[in-house]
Amino acid sequence: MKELLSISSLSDEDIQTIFKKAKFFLNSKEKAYHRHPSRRICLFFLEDSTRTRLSFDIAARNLGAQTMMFATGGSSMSKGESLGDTLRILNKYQFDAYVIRTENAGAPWLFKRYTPSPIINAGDGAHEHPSQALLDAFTLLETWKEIKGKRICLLGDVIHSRVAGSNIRLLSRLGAKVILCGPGTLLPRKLPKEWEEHWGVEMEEKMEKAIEGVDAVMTWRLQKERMTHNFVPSFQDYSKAWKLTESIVERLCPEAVILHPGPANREIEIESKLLDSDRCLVLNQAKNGTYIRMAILDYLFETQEKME
Amino acid sequence: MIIQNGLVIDPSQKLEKIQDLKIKDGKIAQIANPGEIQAESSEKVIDASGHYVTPGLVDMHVHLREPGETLKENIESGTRAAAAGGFTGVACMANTQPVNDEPSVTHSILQKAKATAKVRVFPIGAVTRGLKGEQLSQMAGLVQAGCVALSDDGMPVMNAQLMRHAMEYSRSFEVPIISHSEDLSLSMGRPMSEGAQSTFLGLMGNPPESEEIMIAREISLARLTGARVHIAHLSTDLGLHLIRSAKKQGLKVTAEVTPHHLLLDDESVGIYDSQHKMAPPLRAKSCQEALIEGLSDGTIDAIASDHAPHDPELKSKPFDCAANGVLGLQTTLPLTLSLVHQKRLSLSRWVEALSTAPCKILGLPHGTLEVGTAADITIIDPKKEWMYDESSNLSKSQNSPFLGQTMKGKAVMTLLEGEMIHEG
Repeated sequence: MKELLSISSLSDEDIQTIFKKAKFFLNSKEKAYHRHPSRRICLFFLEDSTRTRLSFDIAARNLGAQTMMFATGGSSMSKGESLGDTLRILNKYQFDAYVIRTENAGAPWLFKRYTPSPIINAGDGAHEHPSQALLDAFTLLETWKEIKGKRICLLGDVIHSRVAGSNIRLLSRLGAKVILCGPGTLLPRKLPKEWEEHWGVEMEEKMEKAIEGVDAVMTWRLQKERMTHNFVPSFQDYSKAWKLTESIVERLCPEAVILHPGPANREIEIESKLLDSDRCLVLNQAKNGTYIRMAILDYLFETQEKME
Repeated sequence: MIIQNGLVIDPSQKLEKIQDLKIKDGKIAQIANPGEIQAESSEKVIDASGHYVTPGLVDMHVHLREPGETLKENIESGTRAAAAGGFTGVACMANTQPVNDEPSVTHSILQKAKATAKVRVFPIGAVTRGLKGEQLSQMAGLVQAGCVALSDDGMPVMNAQLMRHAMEYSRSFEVPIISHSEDLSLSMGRPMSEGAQSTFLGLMGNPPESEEIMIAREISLARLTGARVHIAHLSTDLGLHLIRSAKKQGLKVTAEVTPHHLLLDDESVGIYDSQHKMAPPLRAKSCQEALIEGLSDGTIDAIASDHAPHDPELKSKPFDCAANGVLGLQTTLPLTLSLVHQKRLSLSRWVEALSTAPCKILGLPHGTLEVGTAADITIIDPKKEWMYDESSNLSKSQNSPFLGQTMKGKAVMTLLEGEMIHEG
């Protein structure tokens, strides 16, 4: 694996290697594996992030690598300093990898023009967040033997969600049946042909229909700015139709596990009681995030070393 | 000068046969069967065997960026590209700096054109002051100063009452209002067409309906006011249906389409290639197919390039922030000729769309080879292959998705009033 831009750019073998490595790190007694002490990683975050950034930072340090932060929270690349100019300068610091988070879909491909170093996409606009999907699938694999044949509902603001973008691709590739659910304003107008015809991804606006009999429901934070553009009238109103509650889950999909990448709006997209319940894997997700990211970095540097 | 043995195509006279054509004093003097015109002793004779001889092509939608943004393009460079692309005239949009919203700006454009332009320059005046959509521009003055149409291209007039008044007020000047039809409250400045591809790329989509809604409004207002409305850069099948029905009702509605909307679809965006970003955005394949059909059956009157130069910095931003627009003056001819090669467009319809129709829409005495008219002529080698790249590109800018591609078909000679303004 030379880079991690999207789930689409990973081979099936890459995916399995990442899972294998993550499992190894998870099951090992030692916390730190100073396998890559000479590596320097730039955490290039042009959009606010706490968990992803921290998790990559910890993962890199566990591997003995050094990390440097370039963060301009809230600032947009559409204004101010040109991205090209910034990257031309950063390049001179000779980073071995960039972990990047931007508000612009496709920005990782733009980065590639300016640097020969590998890029890990830590979220590009509403497009993809591959490491999140990898850790979500890895978490599910701790509960299930395999993902193949499972029904999984992704519930919430689908069109603005890179978490959904990567999970649709990864879970479908691993053989799950994915159902997208949310109000009409937050679902895509049209799905790519491959998603529909090859993977059988479905859209369903009614939550009770969408989650019936599923093996897992994943939901995520509904963002405040969705109200300013009238995607939803209010948090409260949204919660009346699409809040996931323990009683609904028990009634319609009693076997289901619940995933949430956090941080949650308690009582908006998910009932507080459900979030804190045993069937909710949110803490496992947080824990596995570090191991998956260690696996990604380790795999990347291993590939680099083989080429050197 | 005599142009011999070329296939003379002049839709204005329903002419499409091998003829000789004589030019005298900058005018078309005679068209006759091959060999019938005797050359005078020192007269230049051009052999156009295997070539098309057409009325000079006219691009009714270009951005020359002068005054104001002359690092991107100026009248000199833009019209040089136009001449090389086979055009003898271009109509330039009002979104310069300052905006062409008052006669003094029109005068200065025409003055600069007189000094530096290779082809005829027809300014288009703004509909509203500063393209702000708030107050009408100095329309009577603009038309008297030489504007051939009025348009707030790029900045759609969102207020329907204002557009109604623009149509009613300008009606007596007999210039069309050119509408960039986009309901901004629906398109929200989103970077690509809404559909499967925008979902795939995680980009917010501009729905085709944003164009349809505005075209519906323009047609209603054309009916209400009796004014002439021209729909710029049509991109959707939905809009096409509306225009087809408006024409059946006898309304004075015309339309143009760009080469990129005829040749590309939203899948061409690939992995966020901002060279494929423009407004309106590239649409679904079904729209592209419908547009070719609409051009062929005459629902769409004209082909226009929407030549929109941008500096590289604006195009090297992330896709959603990159500037809209592509170059077109040198590529319009070969790209649209490919539809003729594929037999999806007749030769006469092609020439009409690139010359006769735009001249008619803009009320220009060109787009014809009638005896006595100005000898604006394009000689086209339909089979000549050439590379469109940084060295052959004459624009000051480089923003074309077609750079690096081999083109088939070329204007090998462009004549303006009988004078050669391009050869090669």
